[in-house]
Amino acid sequence: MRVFSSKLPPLQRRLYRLAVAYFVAVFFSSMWPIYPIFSRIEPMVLGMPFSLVYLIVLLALSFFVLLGIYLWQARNGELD
Amino acid sequence: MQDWLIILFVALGYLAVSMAVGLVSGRKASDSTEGYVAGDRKLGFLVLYFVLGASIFSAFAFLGAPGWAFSRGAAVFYILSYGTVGLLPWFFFGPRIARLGRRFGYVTQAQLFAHRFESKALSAILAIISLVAFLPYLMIQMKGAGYVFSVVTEGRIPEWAGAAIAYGVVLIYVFHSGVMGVGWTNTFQGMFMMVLAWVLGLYLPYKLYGGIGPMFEQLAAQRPELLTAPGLDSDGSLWTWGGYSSAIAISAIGFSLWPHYFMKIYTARSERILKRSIVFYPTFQIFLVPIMFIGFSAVLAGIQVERPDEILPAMITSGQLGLSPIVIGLFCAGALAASMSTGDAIVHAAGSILVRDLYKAAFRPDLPGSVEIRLIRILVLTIGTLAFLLAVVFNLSLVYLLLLSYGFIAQIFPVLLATFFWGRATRPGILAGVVAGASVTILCNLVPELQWQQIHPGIWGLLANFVTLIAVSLLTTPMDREHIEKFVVE
Repeated sequence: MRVFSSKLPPLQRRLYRLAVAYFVAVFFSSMWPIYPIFSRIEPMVLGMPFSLVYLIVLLALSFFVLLGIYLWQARNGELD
Repeated sequence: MQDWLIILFVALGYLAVSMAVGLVSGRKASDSTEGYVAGDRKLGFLVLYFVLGASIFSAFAFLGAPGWAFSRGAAVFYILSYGTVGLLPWFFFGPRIARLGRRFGYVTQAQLFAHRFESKALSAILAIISLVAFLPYLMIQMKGAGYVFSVVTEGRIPEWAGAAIAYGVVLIYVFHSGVMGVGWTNTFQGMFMMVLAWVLGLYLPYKLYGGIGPMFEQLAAQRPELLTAPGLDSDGSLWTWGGYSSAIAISAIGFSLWPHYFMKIYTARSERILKRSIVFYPTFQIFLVPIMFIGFSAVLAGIQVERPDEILPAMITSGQLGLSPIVIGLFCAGALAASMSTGDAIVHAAGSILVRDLYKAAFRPDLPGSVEIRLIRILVLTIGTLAFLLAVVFNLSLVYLLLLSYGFIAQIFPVLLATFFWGRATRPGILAGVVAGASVTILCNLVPELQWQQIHPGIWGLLANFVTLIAVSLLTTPMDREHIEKFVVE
């Protein structure tokens, strides 16, 4: 069983593996038993309770990570 | 002029623009099934971005999410979380699915899986699962549209008539323009929803409390239980972490597999466009944050409603805020946009799937293209009318059905994984897995004692699905290697 094509160069495969591991971590970070640690009101950030800020940060980080992968692929000419 | 008339004119103006956009856009696609269902695989970034955003954000996001924030507090955060990861699988599988689609001419989800497992039965089962999941979803959109009309006209337009007006427009542009009508109206509707959500979500807390910070500080002082997950259950008691976490898991898994959504992969012009639309999806998703603010701002505002879903329209129309009728009309249009941008994609997909995956796949492989389009169009009208009658006349309880439908849709996940990553999966394995998964989901729904820790029934269905798929596949003869190699990652 393969998740990423064996034709990919090793560096790229390692990068994709890291990215997938990162997104799986984000997925689990939004659930029990990790999210309960961060699900509290204080400290408030920008007027919002920390429980919400934490989820917004997860969303924003995921966006930038995926954007990074996309730009990297575009630069390597993988998208054409 | 009376206020309700101004509101109505604004809403009708929105409907007129939607209709015009929907009808004109039909000219952009060819008169073939590929054109009608997959837009000739030529959609660009702008349209795809808004299709991905608007066709998943439904009346539930616009009316239900503020209702949840208002009545259940942080429980609503689960919607933000599942969307964070829900679309990611597409970034990795999407281009492969699109390439296979181009090569073998798929326009629906079931075509891919039925081809991989060489099974007409799989195609028919998936078509039926889709339809069972679509109907309550579509009915909720129609009720939402009818409801908005009825509230803002103070009951002068009854719910059934409001739903009929909004969905009359939807059926006309979907019938005429197919996926191009869905795509371009979603672009218009999506922009509308986004602007409205941000403006209202920032304005209401400011008007009522003097800002977001003061609002949450007052809530923290008076109702702190609303600000930490898992929030409250619908009966006002504390929700469980099991219920909250499994709601995220099942929705994140089901999210990218909804058949009306999945088939949009085939519409992308190129891999670059598809990936870019997925990358930027969170910039749409983040509009849930102001939507939640709207619900939170209502908690201490002293507004009484019978059902939490009514909180947004009740607030907007309450004299307390003194909003101008034009703003109320725009809100009404925004809620209609949320409902219609999901409803149009579903009704279009339902017609396409019934004809392609059930009728053509199982009974009439030689169906000519021109007849196929005509049939799809007729079924679009039939399903739209059927959902309308079920929603308005029989007034069924939908929450239960919707819960069941996410559990059903998630059962497609093992099929997707096996298609690309497990060459050893066989036709009997897949069929047994899907049937076992769907049966366990139904069983856990019907027997409340099985809902341990409020874990979503679909999770148990998925477990049964995976175990059955693996066991039966290993016990049956492997499929032809050469055929499998077209799909599985090597």
